[in-house]
Amino acid sequence: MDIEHFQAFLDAVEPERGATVLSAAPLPGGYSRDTVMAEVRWADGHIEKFVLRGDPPEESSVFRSDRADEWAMLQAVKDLPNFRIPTPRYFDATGEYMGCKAIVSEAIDSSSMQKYLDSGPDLDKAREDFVAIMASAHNTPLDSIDASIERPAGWREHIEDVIANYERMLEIIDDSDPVLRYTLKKIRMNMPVEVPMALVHGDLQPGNFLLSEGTDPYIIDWEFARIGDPRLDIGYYLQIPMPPHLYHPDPEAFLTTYRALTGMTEEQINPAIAKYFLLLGTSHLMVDIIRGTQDVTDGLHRGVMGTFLMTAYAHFNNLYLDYSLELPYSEVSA
Amino acid sequence: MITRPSTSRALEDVVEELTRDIMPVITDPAQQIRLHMLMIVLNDCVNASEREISVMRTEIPTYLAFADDVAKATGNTDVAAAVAGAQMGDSLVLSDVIRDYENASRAFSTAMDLVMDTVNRDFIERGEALLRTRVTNERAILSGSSAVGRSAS
Repeated sequence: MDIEHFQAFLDAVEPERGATVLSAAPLPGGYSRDTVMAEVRWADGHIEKFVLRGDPPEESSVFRSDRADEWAMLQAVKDLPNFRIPTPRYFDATGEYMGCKAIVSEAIDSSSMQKYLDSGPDLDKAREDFVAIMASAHNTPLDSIDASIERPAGWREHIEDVIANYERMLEIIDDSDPVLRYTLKKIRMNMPVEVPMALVHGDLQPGNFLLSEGTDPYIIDWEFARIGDPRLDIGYYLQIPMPPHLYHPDPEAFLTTYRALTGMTEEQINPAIAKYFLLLGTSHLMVDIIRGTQDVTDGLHRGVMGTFLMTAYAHFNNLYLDYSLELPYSEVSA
Repeated sequence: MITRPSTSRALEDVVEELTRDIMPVITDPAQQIRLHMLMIVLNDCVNASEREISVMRTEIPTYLAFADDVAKATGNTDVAAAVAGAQMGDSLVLSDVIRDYENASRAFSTAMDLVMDTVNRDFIERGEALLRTRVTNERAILSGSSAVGRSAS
C-alpha cells in the first residue's frame, strides 16, 4: 500500500478526478492490519487525507479477519444515526491495485480517546462518555442494519458458537492446556441469562474512539464487529491494559450507567457477569493467538507477532484462570 | 559443551547489543516497535532457556500424582488409562520433555474434568492449586522481561 499502488488504484476508481498521491506513510501500532495514512491532491486543487487498511501478508499475520466482511459492516453502519464512523470511500476487493484487499476511508482530524485519557481529564466524566459511546453502538436497532450482515439464529446458538472458541483453541494445541479446559468447563457451568442481540464491535476501547472538535465521537476498527451479545464488548474492555482504565476503579458506576442507557437489568449485567464475559469477549483473539503460536511450532513464519504472542498467551491464561476460579460450581455440568 | 557463556547469558548479551547499538540508529517507528517486540521475545527465551525443562519436569509428577489419586479414589478407568499412558521418561531432551508434559497435562485435565463434574471439593481445591502454580510458572518465564538476571557465566 505505497504511493504507486494507491495512485494506480485512484486512477482506476476516480479516472475523472485527476488524483495525485502526495504521500503514503505507514502508521505504527496496529497489531492486526497494515495501516497507511495517505494524502491526495485532486485536479481541482483540493487536498484530502485517507486511511488505508489492508491485510498484511499471510506469512506475517496472526490475527485473521476478512476485509470484505469489514467493508460490508462499514457499509451497514456508516449512515446510522447512533454514532459516527469515518466515511468508507473505496474498497480494493481483490488486491488487484493495492497488493492486498484494502479499505480506504476518510481520515479524521482527531485524536483518540486514549490520548485524551492520557492528558488527565475528569475520569468520572470520561467514564460516562465512554459508556455512552459504547451504548450508542449497542442500542442500534438491528432492523436498521443491512440484512447482508449475518444474524445468529438465536442467543443460545450465538453464545454456544462463542464458547466453542475454547474448543477451537484446545483442538489447535491437541488439548494440551489444562487452564483452557478448566476455563471452558467453568464457562459451561455458569451460562448467563439471555439478553437481546445487538451490534457488537469486538474491539471496543478508548483507542478506537476518535474525538474531533465540534462533532460526535467516531468509532473505528470494525474488523471484528458482528451481531451478538453486547456484553462481549464489556468483557473485552475489562482486559484492555492501557491506563487509566474506566471500568476497574468503579465497576458499579460503569455498569449503572450502562444499564440506564441500554435498559439491561442488574441480573443481565453486573460485575460478576462482566467478568464472565471477559472469558468470552476475548476468545476470538485467543483462538488467533494460539493458532499463531502453533504455526510457529509447526515451522511456519508468522512475523514477529507469532513469537511475541507467546507472552499474550501466558497473559490471557493468567486472566482466564483468575476469572474462572471465581465462578461457582454447579452440581450438574453441561 | 561450552558453558561460558550459558545460552541465557548469550541471549542477554544479544539483547544488550540490540538495546545499546541497534535500536538508537533505527528511525522508522514501525521498525522500532518491531525490534522492541523481538527483544521481548528474546528476554522470554532467556528465561525459558534457564528453566523450562526444570519447570516441566517438576510439574509432571504433580499432575500424574493428582490424576492417579483421582483414579484410585473414584475407580474411574478413563483417568487410570490416561495416567498409564502419560508416564514421564528419563530423557531430558527438550522435545521429549515437552511430549511428557503435554501427556501429563492431558491426564490431569481428564481427572480434573471428573472431579469438577462430581463437585469433589477436596480434589478440586488441589487441582486448582496446581493450575495456579502452572500459570505462575508460565508468567515467570513469559513475562517479556528477563527474570533470571545476569548469570555468573
